[in-house]
Amino acid sequence: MQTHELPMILFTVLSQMSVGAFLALGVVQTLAVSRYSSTTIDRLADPALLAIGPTLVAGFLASMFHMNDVTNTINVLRHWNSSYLSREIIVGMAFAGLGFVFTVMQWRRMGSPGLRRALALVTAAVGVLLVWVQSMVYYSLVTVPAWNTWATPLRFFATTVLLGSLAVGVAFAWNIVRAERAAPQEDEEASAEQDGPADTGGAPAAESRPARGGGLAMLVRPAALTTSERESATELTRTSLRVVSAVATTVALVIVVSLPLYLAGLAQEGSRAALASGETFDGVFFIMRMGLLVVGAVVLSLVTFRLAADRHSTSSRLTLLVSVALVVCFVSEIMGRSIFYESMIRIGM
Amino acid sequence: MLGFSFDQTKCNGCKACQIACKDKHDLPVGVTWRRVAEYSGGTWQEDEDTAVPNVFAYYTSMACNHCENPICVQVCPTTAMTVRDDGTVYVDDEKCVGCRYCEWACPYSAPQFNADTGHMTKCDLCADYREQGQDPACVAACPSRALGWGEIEDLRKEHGTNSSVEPLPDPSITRPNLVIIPHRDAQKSGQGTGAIANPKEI
Repeated sequence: MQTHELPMILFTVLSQMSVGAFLALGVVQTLAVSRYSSTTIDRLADPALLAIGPTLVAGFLASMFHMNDVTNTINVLRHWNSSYLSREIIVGMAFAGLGFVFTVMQWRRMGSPGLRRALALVTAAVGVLLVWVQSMVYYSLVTVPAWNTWATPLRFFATTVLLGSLAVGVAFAWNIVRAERAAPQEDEEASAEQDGPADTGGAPAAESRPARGGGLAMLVRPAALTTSERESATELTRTSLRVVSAVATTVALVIVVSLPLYLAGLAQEGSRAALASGETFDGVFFIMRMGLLVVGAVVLSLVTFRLAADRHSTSSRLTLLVSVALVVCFVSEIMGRSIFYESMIRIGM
Repeated sequence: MLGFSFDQTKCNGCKACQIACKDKHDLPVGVTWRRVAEYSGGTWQEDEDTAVPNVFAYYTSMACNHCENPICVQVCPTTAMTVRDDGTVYVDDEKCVGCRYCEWACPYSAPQFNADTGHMTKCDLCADYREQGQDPACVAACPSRALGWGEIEDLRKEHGTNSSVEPLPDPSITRPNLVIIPHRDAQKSGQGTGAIANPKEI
């Protein structure tokens, strides 16, 4: 394990997971709106959204340890017209800022749904830009053959999609378990009102109101759901988990298939540095990284995929499964990023 | 634009330049602005029952080449890495955050990290010595007169334009202000068959 670059490993993986989770929530909001009421979607998505901020902040905090003189930190913005490192910080702060504004607006139901949707779209675009710029920090080093390849952006986006979607799956699943554990309160009237036809979901009249008591109550008392609301949320969660599992497996396959192509590229490049870099993708640590990826993103995800379709499976079991899958994939990605930094061998002397 | 010249045919690998530099700038352990790489390799031919060795080794003394296209300056997020009017590349201590990105980028290992200050450091071609009309410490110390410095145009007129020699990288990447007078066994950058024999010193 490459402990020397730990700040960068944590920063890149955590920020990519944050972007991925934001994107995954956007996809759920977009795809689910035709079949579920916005109340149901928001009840699931909002707590997940609130978890993105701290993840991103943790990433930024980790990145501070990469610098050896933090008193000059503000200078890292100066060279935006030339250095991808400056651009990475600027775009990262833009994503964090937009994400914060959007989260507050969504949480407190400020502004029209249309405005919030537009803001979410801009934030998502900036998030994608962040991952791209982040990969360019490494790709643009023509003196490092291991990084100056198509595999760098591919890896970064793979991390984004894999961890982001799994994180959203876990957030949804936990939400359902908590809602189920809280005593179900039958409230026919509210049920009828809230479970209206989905096509009114986007209209201001049917817009979901902030949770009773407002603010954090939404997180503290997830039980403020009627039975039919909860059933609808459970169905959406299970569908989401199936999609998340399928996405995770696909990403894992992309990572596995890209590896020999990447190594062949290094061999073809042929420089001493490229050949030496290729040798870092070997050994027990590397095999463990790939093994964990297969366990988390393929084996556990396929079980989750099957179980989510099974009406007799319990939510708590599903939650446990997808949570373990996330943890295993997270560890695997951290290890993978460690190998990525270890493969840094420069040309020349 | 200022630069260095280095004559591989004269260097015997004594490393006086390295030590003179370290002494002049009082560099801590682990920070060595000028380093001497020993590049060696070889093969043998079978001549009936005899294996005839065909081996080579030569030295390359390397500091910062104050490149025309300095990748360290391009990637530095803080603009601490700057080019002076005379073409030399230097680090502004007031701006550097010690992120070490320039260290990743430079194919000559010129920018080096000083753990005491938390900043990057590098060869400035002995700016203070030059102001006083002296030669840079490394050039003055070389007992075989393998090192030279001056306006790169003058150096190129005198010694030619080669700087594409192993173990140095392809000069088209950063366009170093460097002239190498190649050793008779010198191999072209990117086509080397040897290896650096003292990687831990570099």
